[in-house]
Amino acid sequence: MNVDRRRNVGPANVKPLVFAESRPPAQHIDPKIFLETGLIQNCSGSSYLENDKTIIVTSIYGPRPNFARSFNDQASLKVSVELSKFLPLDNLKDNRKNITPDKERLVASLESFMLSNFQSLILLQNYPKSSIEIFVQVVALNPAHSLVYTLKNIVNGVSVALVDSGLNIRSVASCGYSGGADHEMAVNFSGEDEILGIWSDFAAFDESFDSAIDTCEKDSLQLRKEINGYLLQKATAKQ
Amino acid sequence: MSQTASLKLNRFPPDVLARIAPDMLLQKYLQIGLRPSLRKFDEFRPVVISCAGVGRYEASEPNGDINGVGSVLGSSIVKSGKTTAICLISGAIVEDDHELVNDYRTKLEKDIIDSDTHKDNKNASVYTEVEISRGASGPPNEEEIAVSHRLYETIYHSGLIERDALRIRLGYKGSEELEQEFVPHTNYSFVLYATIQVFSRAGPVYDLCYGALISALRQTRLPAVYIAEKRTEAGVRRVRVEEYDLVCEAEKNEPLKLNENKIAWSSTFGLVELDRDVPHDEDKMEIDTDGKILLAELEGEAEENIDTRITVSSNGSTLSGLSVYGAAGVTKEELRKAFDLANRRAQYVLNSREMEM
Repeated sequence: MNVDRRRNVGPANVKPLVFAESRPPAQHIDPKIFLETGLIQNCSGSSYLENDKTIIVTSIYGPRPNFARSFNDQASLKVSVELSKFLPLDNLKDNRKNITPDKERLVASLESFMLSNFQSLILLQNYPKSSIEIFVQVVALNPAHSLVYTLKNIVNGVSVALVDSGLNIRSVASCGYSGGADHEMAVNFSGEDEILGIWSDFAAFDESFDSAIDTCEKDSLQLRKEINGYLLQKATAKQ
Repeated sequence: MSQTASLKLNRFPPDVLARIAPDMLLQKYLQIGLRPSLRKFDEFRPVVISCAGVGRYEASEPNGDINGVGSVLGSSIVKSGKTTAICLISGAIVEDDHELVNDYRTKLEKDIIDSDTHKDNKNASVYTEVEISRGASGPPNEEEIAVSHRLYETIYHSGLIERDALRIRLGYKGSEELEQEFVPHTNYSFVLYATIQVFSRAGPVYDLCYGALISALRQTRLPAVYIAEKRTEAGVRRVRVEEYDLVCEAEKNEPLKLNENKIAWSSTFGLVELDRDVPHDEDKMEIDTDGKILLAELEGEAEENIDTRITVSSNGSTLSGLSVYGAAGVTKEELRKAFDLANRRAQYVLNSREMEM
């Protein structure tokens, strides 16, 4: 019998709480974000991002010595996403399948998307023999936020934390979002016309796809302006 | 021909010295009457308690959408110095007679003895999981396991939550009481879970976690439960098995009843001896003591090296918990001083405005 003795998990025969149907969550999304960096002390860089009741805490550790391999000429990057235990995950579903996914698979797909994004953003070759680890904790989640919208928030949180950590990066990335009734898309830009990653549920690459990318770019530009403004203000305030 | 090698004196900044020679750094600070964190010996860090307001029924906070969904029943944020602890409380339902505390297959010998002694007790506890953000993934480390279990045991033995407070009184949907003849034969209770996330750990975290757990429990609201229409009754010969669909009301709830006088605050002290052998500057010596020095709320790498620790919980007037590590050489006098400080600290924190919430 496989029992987790390291965690205090409680009795095995419990029934989860089932709640009566309540009012559907409001669907409008407040685009205002609250950003703060450097709140966590014992890591190289951190950020706290709050958007419409969704709270995302990112901490970056590294470059730290990597003892895992005999030699590696560039830093190994690791991304871990942690969804807090009691979050309402009902809305984090894949639009195409319309089912609430398994938490582990959800986390795995988020992690792999971010890994491929930030591998090409961070100048890993500047840190041989080391490892860089990014930890994202979703502390609170607005139930109205979809998976793609949450992804946008997470990516932006990580981008700001990367700046705070002082790691060598090519540019400050910012992720834009476009959401319609049928399709959603989040595109991570590292500069003008430079795309790091696209997460979308489009099946065909028609005009609506192009216009969605344009919307994302506009959104990302707007965000970049805000992020740059914040970082500049923070940098000048220190002196 | 002779070569002379000169040794250059190395100067380390305090944070580096704290890592390579923690005891030396600590002694250097103690000599001038300060601690590495620049606090006084018996000075605590300021603590700020606030409700996170993410719970399902915590509508008092203007958090709109986030309330009313999800299964979080209570929440709190406690900040002490730079360290932050976020506590979320959730629950589940268990059939009273079947709570698997006595399942011998899943237990170690010690647990079997424990659960036998717990069986007839009227106290309940919270299954706690502590996560300290430390830049590593994987299973919980030693400290997290120890703190989680200690919180569980402390809540249990303090009698803060009575088993009766978690018992579910089934009703109809709405406000009516369930008629006597429809009441099921089995009793149901809530089981409470808590996760505590700690950011920016700077020293022992038990006190902060305990504070976060207590404040979240004070915010916790339990849902009203009714039996949904579906009810299955299976009869195999003479054994009748009843199963009900228990549904929690979306809006209706009541606060979790706690034994208010059992609410305590815990304080951890370190005990350290002033080392006369460490070279010191006579002129700068600020303190003159032969006994040991009691340090309140350890913080930083240098102080974590102290092995003798005293943890005292108190509700302001009555002592409710005491544990001493590395007890050799702890005198009555020192314990009395720790009690006194812990009492005053508890009075201050528990009577502060935030705790009233």
